[in-house]
Amino acid sequence: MLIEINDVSKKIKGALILKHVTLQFKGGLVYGFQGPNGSGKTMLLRLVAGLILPTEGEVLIDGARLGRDIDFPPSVGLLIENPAFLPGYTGKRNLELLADLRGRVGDREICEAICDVGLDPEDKRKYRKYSLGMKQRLGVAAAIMEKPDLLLLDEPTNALDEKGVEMLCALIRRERDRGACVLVACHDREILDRLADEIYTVQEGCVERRPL
Amino acid sequence: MSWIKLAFHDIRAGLLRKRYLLAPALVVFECLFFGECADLFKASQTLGDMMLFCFRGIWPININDRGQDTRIPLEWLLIMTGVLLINLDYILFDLTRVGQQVMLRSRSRYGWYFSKCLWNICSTALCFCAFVLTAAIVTLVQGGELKLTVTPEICIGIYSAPVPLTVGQVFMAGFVAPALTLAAFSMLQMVLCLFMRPVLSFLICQSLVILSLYWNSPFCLGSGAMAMRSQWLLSDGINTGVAALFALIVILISVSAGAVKFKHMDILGAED
Repeated sequence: MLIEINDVSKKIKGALILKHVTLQFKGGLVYGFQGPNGSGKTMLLRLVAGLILPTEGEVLIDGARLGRDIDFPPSVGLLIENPAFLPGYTGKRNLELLADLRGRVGDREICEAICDVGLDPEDKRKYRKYSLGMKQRLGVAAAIMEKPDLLLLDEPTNALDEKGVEMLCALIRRERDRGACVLVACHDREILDRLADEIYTVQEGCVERRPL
Repeated sequence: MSWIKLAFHDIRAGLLRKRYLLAPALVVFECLFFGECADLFKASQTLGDMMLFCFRGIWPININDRGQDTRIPLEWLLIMTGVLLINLDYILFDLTRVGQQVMLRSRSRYGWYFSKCLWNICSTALCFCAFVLTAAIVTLVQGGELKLTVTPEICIGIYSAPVPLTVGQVFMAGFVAPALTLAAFSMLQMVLCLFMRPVLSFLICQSLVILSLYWNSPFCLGSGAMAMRSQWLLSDGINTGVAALFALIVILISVSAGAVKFKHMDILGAED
C-alpha cells in the first residue's frame, strides 16, 4: 500500500487547518504524529480516511485519487476521537453489525479481535454499560478486526490503563508486521518513541519529520 | 457491499428511537378535539372522518374578510411540527458517530446518503402509520367504524360542506396528500441539515409550514396536507393531486441536491 499526500492544504470554516502538507506512507511501517491539541493531527487522519477532502492538493491511495476516483481507501480501520457504537447492543453484536456490512470476516475473527483487546466476547453487557476503557478497547477491536491494509488510530491510548497501553502497542506492532500501514496520532511522545518507525510533528497545520 | 445492508443498518439504528411515541400522542390529542365535535352532531364517526379531521387545517385566509376565523389550527400545526422533530437529527447524529464506521465500510458516500434518504421516508411512513393506527383505535373505542367514507352530518358541521366525498377523495385528502407532504417536509429538513445547523433547518421548514397557512396554493408545501383547502371541500380550493405531485417533486429535488452536497462534504466529529 502506498499513500501519497501531495501539497495538501485544508481550510475549514475559513481557518487553514493543514498547510501544504506533502507526505508518503508505505505498508509495513508505523507513522507517529505528535503535536498539541488543535494542531491538525486528527484532521490529517480524517484526510487520509477520505472523511475530509483537500481544499488544495491531492491524496492518492495506490494511485487512486481520494474524492475523485474513490470515496474512501479500499481497506481501512479507523479509530478517531471517541469510539461510537449502538448503545443498545453488546460489544460483540456491534462488531457483528459492522462486519456484516462488508462480509469479509466471520464470528471467529470478531471473537479473536475482541479477545485481542482484552474483552470478553461472551460479555452480555450492553455497550452503554461499558466503562471508558472498555469502549476504547472495543473501538480498537473494530479498527483491527477486518485486518485492514491501512490503520488510522487517533489518540488510541485514551482511557487505557497501563496494561491496556501494553496490549495496544503489541497489537500495533503485530499489524505492522502483517504489512499494514499504521498511522498513529498521539500527544504522548513516549508512546510514539516506542512504537513508530517515523515520527512527525504537527504544529499549526504544518507537518515536519522529527529525527528518531 | 449491498446497499440493502446499509438501509437495514439505518432502519435498525434510526427507527428504534423513543421519540416515535410522540406520533400516537399527537393523534390522541387530536382525537380528543374530534370527540367533542362528534358529540355536538350526535353522529357516528369513521376512520375517514378522523383522518380528515386530523389533517383539516384551516380555510384559506382572506385578509379582506374581517369576520373570518383566522385562528391558527394548533392541532394541525402540532402534527406537522411533531414529524419534523421526530426526524430532525438522525443523519447528523449518525454521521458524527457510528455512521463514519459504516460509511468507511460501505466505501461509498452516495450509498450511505441514499440509505439515509430511505430511512427518512421509512421514518415518516412509520409516523404516519402510527397516526392511522391510533386514529383507528380511537374510532373503534368511540363506537365508530373503520371505513373511509365520511359522515354527512360531521362533514356539514365541521366543514360546512354538504358535498359527499367519495372514498377515493377521502383517501387522497386524508391519507396520500398529507403523507407525501410530511415526507417532503421531512426530506427537505434532512437535506437542509447538510447545509446548516439542524435547528436552522427545522426553523426554515417550520416557517414554510406556517406560510402555508396564509398562502393557498398547491405549490406551497403544506396546503396539500389541509383537507379544508381541497377542491372537494372548497369551490375554489386547490387540486389535491397536483399538491401531492408537487410534494413528490420536492422530495426528488431535495434528494438530488443533498447527494451533490454530500459527495464533497467534510465529515467531522461531534466535537468539531
